[in-house]
Amino acid sequence: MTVRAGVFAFTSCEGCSLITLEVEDRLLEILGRVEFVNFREAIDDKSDDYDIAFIDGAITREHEVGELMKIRERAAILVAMGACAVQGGLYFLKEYHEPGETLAYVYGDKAGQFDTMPVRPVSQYVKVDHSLYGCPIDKREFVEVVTALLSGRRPNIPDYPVCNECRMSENICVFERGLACMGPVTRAGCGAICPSRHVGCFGCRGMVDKPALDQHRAVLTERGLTEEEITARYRMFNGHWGSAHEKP
Amino acid sequence: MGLMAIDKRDLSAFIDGLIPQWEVVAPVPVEFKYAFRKVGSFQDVALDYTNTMLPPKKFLLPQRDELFSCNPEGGPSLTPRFDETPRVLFGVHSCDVHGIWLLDDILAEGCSDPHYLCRRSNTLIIGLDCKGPCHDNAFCKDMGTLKPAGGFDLFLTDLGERYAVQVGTGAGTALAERGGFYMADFEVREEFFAAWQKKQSGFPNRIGYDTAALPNILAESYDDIIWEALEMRCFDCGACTTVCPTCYCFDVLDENDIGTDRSIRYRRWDSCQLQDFAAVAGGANFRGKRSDRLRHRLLRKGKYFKEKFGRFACVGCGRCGRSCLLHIDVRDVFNQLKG
Ligand code: SF4
Ligand code: SF4
Ligand code: SF4
Ligand code: SF4
Repeated sequence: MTVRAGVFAFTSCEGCSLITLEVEDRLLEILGRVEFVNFREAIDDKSDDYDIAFIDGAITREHEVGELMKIRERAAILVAMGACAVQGGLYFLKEYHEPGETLAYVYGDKAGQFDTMPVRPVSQYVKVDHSLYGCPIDKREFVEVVTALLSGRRPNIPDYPVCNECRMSENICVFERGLACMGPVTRAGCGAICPSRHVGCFGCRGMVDKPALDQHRAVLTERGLTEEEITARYRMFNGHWGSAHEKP
Repeated sequence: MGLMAIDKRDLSAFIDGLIPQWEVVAPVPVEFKYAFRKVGSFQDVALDYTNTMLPPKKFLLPQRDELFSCNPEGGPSLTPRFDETPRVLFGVHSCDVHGIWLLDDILAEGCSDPHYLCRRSNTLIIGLDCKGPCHDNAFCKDMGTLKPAGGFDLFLTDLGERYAVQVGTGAGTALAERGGFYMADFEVREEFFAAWQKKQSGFPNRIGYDTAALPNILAESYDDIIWEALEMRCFDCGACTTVCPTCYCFDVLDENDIGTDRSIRYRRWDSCQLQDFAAVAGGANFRGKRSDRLRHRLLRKGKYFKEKFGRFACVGCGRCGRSCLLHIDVRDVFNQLKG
């Protein structure tokens, strides 16, 4: 059985779209089972007949909402792909500026030609069946989700913190290097790739379902971070998560 | 079993002589810490290391362990996977030898674990005595793990010019026959005894009472407010169980290949401290509260295993306390319960 799939990019760098083609040794296997019928970065076809839709990017413009809803109607399964689609991603940083401020900064006197609205994750507008986390998404996890969907099983996506994978990899905790880390509240699945390279986790995969926020704040405070520094770390990838609960 | 000795200058030839035949794993420096790794030569070994980040259990029960593969072609067939690599774990301190010795009992009991037992039967353990407390939160003395009581083939104690070598098994005897070893004479025995006396007095007690009382203290703590208080310091990250030499829980997962439908069943270290550890189909979670999870871990360490196997499931290595970002330390909890 093969399935028809579309990859749709909204407000994003389209890096996550490209990851779907970067799965190296698994690409031919995937292409044997998944027929891409609508994928701006890869093919010319623009079919409206697909089973699975992968959504890359945050929703930041009026017309994107309508397009997204149409895709949702057509697709049996919708997968939000990457930090922008899942959490609003880096684009959500715009929400910490005055309306129009970032537009004017980037486009200067042409700012009037662009419409923009508050940055929202895909789930704000449509039902999301599965999420692929990270900035960018993890190749292995993309293969896992596609394989699971084709096999009719639930994808194995962790709901425990990055610390778990980090300790398993026998890394030296970056807090012991005097750095700060979002790992204790961030969803694992990346293999703790950043701490493994001696930088703190930025939180790109978003929070676990029930993050221990107070405890994390206590750790960061104990290690000497100021309130502003803590807030900046939370805002980087998890601004929307915060605004849905308590704004960081 | 018996006591032997080997001169220090002969140790490197002995270990290097094992390398062609065995995968030799030993502590090596990793920046300002240590880890057990496969070594290519005796020179790589950090003889005066302190407690490694992960215990050597990762070579008997790896973080990811493939159990079997399933091939649909020609009628489904299962192929179990067993790791039969001949391996020597060299330089294991007495706390970690105790950890392995406990796993040996637990994983051989009842519905035994053939994957563990296969690795274990192909693994030789050569321990090495530490000379002083490796960290200021190590409480091995309180947990009775200052010297090994089982689970090793050979165990070395530094006597200055030579090592005293306790021989724990027949396989250990066979190893010692490879050369360099000799029977301990009266002088070696004297020095070995003196070294043990010195080690004992060099390690402080860090639990404020005799740990024989621990199972009862924990039994009475069941409704203590301490568990609720600890909640405020835990992230459910499972670092504490990951680094623990006696934790062995795993989750079983499947992975399949979309091209061929071949699949692999593997296990991955799990942790009773993770939120969904006790979640079951239908959404119920038997230990949904963090305080219940913390209490469960501590009671396993200081009560349940002691009652079942006669030994604590905590060897006092202090790894959990050092890995916990908000300093939840088993030793502190044990002390506070009798506060
Ligand atoms: S480096 Fe970050 S992810 Fe790794 S253990 Fe430390 S806090 Fe957790
Ligand atoms: S370690 Fe953190 S920032 Fe780095 S990839 Fe993983 S989730 Fe993202
Ligand atoms: S290491 Fe600490 S924070 Fe993490 S699960 Fe264990 S007790 Fe909780
Ligand atoms: S409970 Fe902590 S101190 Fe005890 S053996 Fe495990 S890691 Fe070591």
